[in-house]
Amino acid sequence: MQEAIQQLLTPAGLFLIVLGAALGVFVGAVPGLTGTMLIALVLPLTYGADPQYALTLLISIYVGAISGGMITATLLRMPGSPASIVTTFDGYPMAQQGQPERALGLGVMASFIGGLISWGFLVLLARPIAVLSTSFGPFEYFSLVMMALVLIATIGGASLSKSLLSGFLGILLSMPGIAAATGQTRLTFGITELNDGFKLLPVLIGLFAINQIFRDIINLKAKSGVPAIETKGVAIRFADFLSQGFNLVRSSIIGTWIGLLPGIGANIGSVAAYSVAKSSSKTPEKFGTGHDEGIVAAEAANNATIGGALIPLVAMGLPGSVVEAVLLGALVIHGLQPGPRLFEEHPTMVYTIMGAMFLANIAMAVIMFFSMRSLAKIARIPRDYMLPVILVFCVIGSFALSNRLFDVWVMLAFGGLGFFLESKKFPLAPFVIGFVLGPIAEENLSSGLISTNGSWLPIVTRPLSVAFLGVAFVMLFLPLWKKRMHETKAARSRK
Amino acid sequence: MKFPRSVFSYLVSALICGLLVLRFIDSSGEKSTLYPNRPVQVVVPYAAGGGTDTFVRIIQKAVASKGLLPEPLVIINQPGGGGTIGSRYVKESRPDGYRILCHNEAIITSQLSGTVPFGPDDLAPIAQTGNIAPMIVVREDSRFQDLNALLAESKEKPNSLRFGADVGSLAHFMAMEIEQSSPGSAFNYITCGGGQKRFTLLLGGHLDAAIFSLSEYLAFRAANETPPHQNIRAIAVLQSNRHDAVPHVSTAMEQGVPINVSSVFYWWAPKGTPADAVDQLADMFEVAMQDPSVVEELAKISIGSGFRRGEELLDYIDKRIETLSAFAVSFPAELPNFPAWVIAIVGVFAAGIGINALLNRKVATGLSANRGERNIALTALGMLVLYIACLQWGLPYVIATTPAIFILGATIAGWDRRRLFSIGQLALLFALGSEFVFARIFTVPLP
Repeated sequence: MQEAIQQLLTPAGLFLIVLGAALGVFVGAVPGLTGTMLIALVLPLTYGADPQYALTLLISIYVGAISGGMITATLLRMPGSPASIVTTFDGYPMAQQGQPERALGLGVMASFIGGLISWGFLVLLARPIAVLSTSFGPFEYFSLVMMALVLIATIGGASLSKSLLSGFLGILLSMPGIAAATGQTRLTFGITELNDGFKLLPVLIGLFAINQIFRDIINLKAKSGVPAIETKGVAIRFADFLSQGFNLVRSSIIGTWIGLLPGIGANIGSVAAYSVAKSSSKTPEKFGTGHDEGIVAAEAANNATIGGALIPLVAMGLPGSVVEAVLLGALVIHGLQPGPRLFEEHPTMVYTIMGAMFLANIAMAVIMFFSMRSLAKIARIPRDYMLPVILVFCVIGSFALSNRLFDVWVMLAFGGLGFFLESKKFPLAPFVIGFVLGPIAEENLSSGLISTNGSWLPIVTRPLSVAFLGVAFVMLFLPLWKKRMHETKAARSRK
Repeated sequence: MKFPRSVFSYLVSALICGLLVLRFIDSSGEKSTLYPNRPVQVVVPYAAGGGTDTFVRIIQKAVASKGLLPEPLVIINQPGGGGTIGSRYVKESRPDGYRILCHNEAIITSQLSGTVPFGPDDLAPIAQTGNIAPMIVVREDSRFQDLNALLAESKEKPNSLRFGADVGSLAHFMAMEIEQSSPGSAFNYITCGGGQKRFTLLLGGHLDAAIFSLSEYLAFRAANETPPHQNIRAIAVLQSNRHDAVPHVSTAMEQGVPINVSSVFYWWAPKGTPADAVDQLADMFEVAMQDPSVVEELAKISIGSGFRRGEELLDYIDKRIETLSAFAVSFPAELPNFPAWVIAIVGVFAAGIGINALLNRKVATGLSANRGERNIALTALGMLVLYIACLQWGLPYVIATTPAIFILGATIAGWDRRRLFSIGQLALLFALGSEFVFARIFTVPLP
């Protein structure tokens, strides 16, 4: 452990952490570029380097990228990853109301605390918690996805039926390509490029970035008075820590636990935390209008998923997200075999991962705090400079995914779809969550049904599964019931 | 801005000049006309960091450090579709020897299972390298001590043993080969994705057995004192010889199950690639596979150093196709038709919302833009489409990108003369700068 700490605290180690966090914040913030992409790109450059330094750099990029996504989500309403969609709910309205700095400040603070709390879990409880992630069978995954879909549909503030339609449309558009259960292609209409379906990145940047860019162009004159930045008395205060304390801790814990689940956690940690924050708030109606609690819940949970996802990685060698699958690859290339024995055989490496996450969190917070004022000005860069550059970044990002222009056309098409849906007041967040989680739900339901020879019974007999469905059910009907109660009360009082 | 405007502008211009010089400085060198005179792209049909990717990167490193080829190998990851996206891409590439594929036997099985209509016959084999031992793995506390116990139970209770293998995958074919040795036995095949997912499902008791490669097994097998429900155990090696890394695990042959398979990597070129290019690449792989550093690196991840080329390789492929095509892939029939369900749900919601909208007809709010702005947006959209189309037609990145940014920016600025110069600067700076970062530093191909 000492060895790991010593190496991290050398000038070279600290430099890599700051460099990685800064690069991560940058790619996380640019629509079209992602942390996963940068890590995959940097990986070959680290072959010659000492494995400890390589891991330090990669982890720092990871932490920076998750936090950086908040910047454009807040200022421009262009989330760089599914994880930061929830941040747009309250961050963007707050920035539009002339408080971009406060919105960013709250986000950075929440990210920092969320990262630290999940780091605590990682260091203290990695082994006992990691085992839990294997208790999740196919039916649990399916029920969890259904719950997540209901949660995202109920928190957006839009009409419930439109939200659900949007979510199922997302699932439908995730279906073309090779079906996980049968290996057969379907819904491709003879287009061979579609054999792998639509990929997440072009879909996401199409729906949000392209859609938003054209919305900005149309509203060019209407918004020529870009919100003035009020700088006095709007930055975050110490009192915010106190008033948001409970929300911070709760959201971080939710983020950590959901982050544990491979493949699913990183995407829905913030959805779940936001949903809990909203339903337990005294002022749920303020959510979605630029409310402090919303930003804090989303960002704290968001960064907490990193620690959560690293738990199965360090304890059992199981990656919790795409980024970590690449990190695992990095371990292998550097001659380390990830797996349950990683901790015993290469303790230095594991401590390096933990230490790098801790320090990168601090570096991220420092970088963001000191550049906050300049970052807030991003919202004021003349549109004629910014929009063309973002468009080209979106093109590069979509292309670089698999080195084919097909994905760029997909991005454009989803830009049109996003524009249409939003114009008709269909929320986009459920669409993305449906798109991301649909295949996971289907694959798991298929595995489950095959292993029970077609019986659906375990969905309601396995305790965790039925609990998730119960929550989904309550979230779906609670608002209706509340409304009903309200109406009868009103009717009674009228009498 | 802290700088006086002009100083900043000069700095940007200087930077642009610098990038221009950098761009042209390198391409002026004499190029030989012999193959290869530019980098050879290796398409890996899986994500960076996976098994195939790691294998290719070890070879790439050796080729570069030992100078086995005058030009470097550049890796392009094209994951998806069970490896069929990448293999199709190479199949349809120009057969000039500058784009090749590294793939495992999934190239055979994905044709046999009907996923794609092409297979080994549609590509030119270069060489076969590496050799990975597959093994049957159960949870440490499993009731199965050997392969026969597993087969006996699957015969007694057909379709009840949960065996982890994606339908149509190589593992599925191996399992069917085992099944065949004991007529009447039938596994229940469960989709289980990659090694990590398989391991998780096995530990969680959601699978009874699965196939792992030796390197996966060594990675996931925890220390001996680990509680048995958190560990895994191999019950058979599917090759003809026991493996040094796990000497106590007996082979399937020793247990009376006649199966001898290995997982190997094949290198393919598009059909029609000149024979001398194929030969030169095969020579390169032959030397690379014998290189001590490669052997050592591969041994670390339990890949043996097998090698085949030429006639021997063709025979081997034919034999594999013959063996594998003996099995008919049957698909799980009892699954609901998921797309139909989702389409139905979407339809119901859409109908409901549509009727609701008709009943409560309101004045359409629309977008509050005036015609001028809508025109700007349409022009910008047109430009974007034209830009992507230009890239599709093969216009070089910088030549397409610079005017695209300039015209988009100028359109948005309403062709305001005072801004045109700085927009032009930005366009050049961005196009050259992004090309420098991506193409030079990261060696990533741009559109």
